[in-house]
Amino acid sequence: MPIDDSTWSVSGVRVAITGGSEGLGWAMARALAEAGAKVWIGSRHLEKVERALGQRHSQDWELAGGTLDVTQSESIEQWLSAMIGRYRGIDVLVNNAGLGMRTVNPHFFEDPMPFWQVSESGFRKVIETNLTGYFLTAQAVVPRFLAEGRGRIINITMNHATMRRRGFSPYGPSRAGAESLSHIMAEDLKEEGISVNMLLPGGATDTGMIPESVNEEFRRTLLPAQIMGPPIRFLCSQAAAGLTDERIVAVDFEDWLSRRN
Amino acid sequence: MWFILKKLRSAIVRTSSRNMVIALVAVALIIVLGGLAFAAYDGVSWPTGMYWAVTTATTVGYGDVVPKTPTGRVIAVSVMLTAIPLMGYVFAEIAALTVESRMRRWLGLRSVMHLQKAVIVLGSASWVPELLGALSAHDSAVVVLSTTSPSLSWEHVHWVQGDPNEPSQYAALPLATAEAVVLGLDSDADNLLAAIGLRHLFPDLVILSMPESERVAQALRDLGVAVHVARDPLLAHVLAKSLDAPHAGKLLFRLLLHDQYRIEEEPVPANWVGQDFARARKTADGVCLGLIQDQEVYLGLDEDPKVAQGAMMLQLIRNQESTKKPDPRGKKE
Repeated sequence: MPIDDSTWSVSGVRVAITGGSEGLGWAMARALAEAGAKVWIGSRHLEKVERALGQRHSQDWELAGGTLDVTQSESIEQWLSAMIGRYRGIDVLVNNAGLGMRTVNPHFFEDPMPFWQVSESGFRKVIETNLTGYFLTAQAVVPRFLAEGRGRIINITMNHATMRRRGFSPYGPSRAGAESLSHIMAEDLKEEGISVNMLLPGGATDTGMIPESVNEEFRRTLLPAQIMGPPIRFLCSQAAAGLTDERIVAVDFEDWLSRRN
Repeated sequence: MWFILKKLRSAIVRTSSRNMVIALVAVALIIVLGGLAFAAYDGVSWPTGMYWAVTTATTVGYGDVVPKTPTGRVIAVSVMLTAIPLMGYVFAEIAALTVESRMRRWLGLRSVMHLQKAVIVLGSASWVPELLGALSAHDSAVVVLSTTSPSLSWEHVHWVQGDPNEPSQYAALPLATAEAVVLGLDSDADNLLAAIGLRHLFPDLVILSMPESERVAQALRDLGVAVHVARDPLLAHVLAKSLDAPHAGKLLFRLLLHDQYRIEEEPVPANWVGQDFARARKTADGVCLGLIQDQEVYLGLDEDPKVAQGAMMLQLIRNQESTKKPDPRGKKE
């Protein structure tokens, strides 16, 4: 069944995407900006933000952003304030910024590193970004949502298999922690009219997290990052009103939709 | 293209120029030694040997001087294998440095002095990021002078690192052609001192400020700084008003922050002059919120002044109706 996205208007919806300058984040930013949303991206590196903004396909896209370090609450506050200054508010937060296994073990595909060899600093860095970062960013945004009595948080996550895979420490635990945090956030906000959902691609995706050294054959099996487009548009639209504590897998999105209808 | 240049630039920053000097010395040595050895073993004069080494190292290789003996060929191969890659490295480095200096000019890393009609923000008060966000929706250039990076960036926002409390730093700002300066230092006292310094340097500069206390507001007004409201009284009154009319604050925000309309100051129509404002406003197109004359704002409810020559009116205008200053956001509506 082809996805009918005409009913999912995201026009004027103000979406903040952490780590929105590349990979899954950029794919979502593009899909949303193309559909008329006001998108605000953040990346630790200014050059990446500028590069992403330079890749706008149309000057009509409402797409802007600034530098953001999700491990620093001051940086998050500044990043959000600037978004509020520009768009006068925020409707959706997409927690997406994350470090991959590459940062700890550049050859994690061919040569998995057992946990006892993982450096302490590498472990802390990944947890700090992938787990603490989700917490800090949501913590900064939620008071604004509470004041409005509405708002949405979308946490990007991974396959459960990845959370248990050999040699996938600390990436696996960081994502598992963020997934647990998502359920708790959804519970905590249930009465407040603020939804928290999870979205994941459903397989290894062709982004910067995959080492360049992987062979062509494997690369061909990777999911395109654009797979995140339809579900993120759905989650930011009126169609997803009231939906909370869901875990949507992008590759199974059509099936999920038809089961839901 | 942009991406490639960026890459190049970061590559240059990492590469120390020491490496280039070492490579240059090595190339010179190889050419001299190779040229002399070639001359000795292949039976040519030393200038010819040098000439041969240079044409080989630069990959020009005319072919007018060629090695004839086996030893000569060995020397030739050694020169080729060592000098050519090093030469390539040196040329690439020189090209990269040229690109870097151009990039710096393009990016305005050295200077923002060429920016015309820039909005200059001094300091990094807590509300500065939000102000920058709001300014980023417009096309005018913004220059921020602060000690720490605003950690936010857009094409039109430039950061000058420096102490905004220090008037000597103002020399790095395009103040002479600035549209306005916004005082965003941490305290009222700092803002007042900055205003004194700026007023002294540029008597006609438009300076905007939002002081906390009414007393500093008055001092700033005396300096000719545009202070419209002081922050503390504004907050207090909005809150107090919210007790009677819970939506008063929201109404204010709606007037100021709506996407589709905005408030503009326009000269009153000529036929209003001499009339009572309350009567004249009924003939206005759109919503006339108030009258400005003698530096005062009149709502025209209890006080109803006669409209004087040169008076202005505050108009609530729908974005697409405006013909004066099209709002950049208006294009998408």
